[in-house]
Amino acid sequence: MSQHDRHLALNELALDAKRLRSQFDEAMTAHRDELLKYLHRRTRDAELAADLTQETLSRMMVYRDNSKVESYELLMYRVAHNLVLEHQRARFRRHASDHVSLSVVGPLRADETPVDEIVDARMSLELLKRALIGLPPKRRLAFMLSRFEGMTYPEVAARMGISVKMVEKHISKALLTFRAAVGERDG
Amino acid sequence: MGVSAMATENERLAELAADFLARSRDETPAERQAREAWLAEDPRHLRLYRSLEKLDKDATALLDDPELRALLKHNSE
Repeated sequence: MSQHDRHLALNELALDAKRLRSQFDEAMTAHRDELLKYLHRRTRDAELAADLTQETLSRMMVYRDNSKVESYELLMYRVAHNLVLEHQRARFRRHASDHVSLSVVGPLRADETPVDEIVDARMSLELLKRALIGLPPKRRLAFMLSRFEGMTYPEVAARMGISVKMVEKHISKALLTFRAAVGERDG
Repeated sequence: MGVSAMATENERLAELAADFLARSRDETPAERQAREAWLAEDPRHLRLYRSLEKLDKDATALLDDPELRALLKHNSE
């Protein structure tokens, strides 16, 4: 490899890394508001929701250069979900003993980001993916046309030659199949 | 209530929640009111509904993967 080739190869790598980062940054910016709303719904506390949003985004930074993450959005919600649980546990502990330092709810350092968040998110996704693939063909088609193609139920019904009620039944049953596949983690 | 009766009750509620969620895209104002009343009735209702909503969202996000979509399309035909 000539010096020139090596230079080109390095440039290529740098470009890839840059692309990855801008993809990540775009995903975070695009979902920030929705994340805040989600956390507000979960906590019913505007200030806490803003704090947890910040904390979620800062924990997500660890994954900024990780090309193996399948969906930043899903991982982000998993991280946020775990933060809410952590917060609730910490609050419970504070109530249980007034001597527990506030630092238990403070941000974890980046190098302490639990690995199980990634494993957990991947596992659920994998189960969900299998459930999607395993749906009866008509049910899967109804779900895809509605959710991915963005068709209305009457449009899906017309395309598939079935009633709107039947489309709804397919969607409802598909959701229950997902629930059974991923395991009941209600809450 | 025994453990299995409780499980059955939970399944029944999950089915109701899934029906409400599926219907919510196309609901009339009266249906919306009925759904909201049901959700406010019992924290379990809301929990079930929210977890199904999350699955709905996750599954929809998965469909962003062109490879998976191709596989699903192939199998649907």
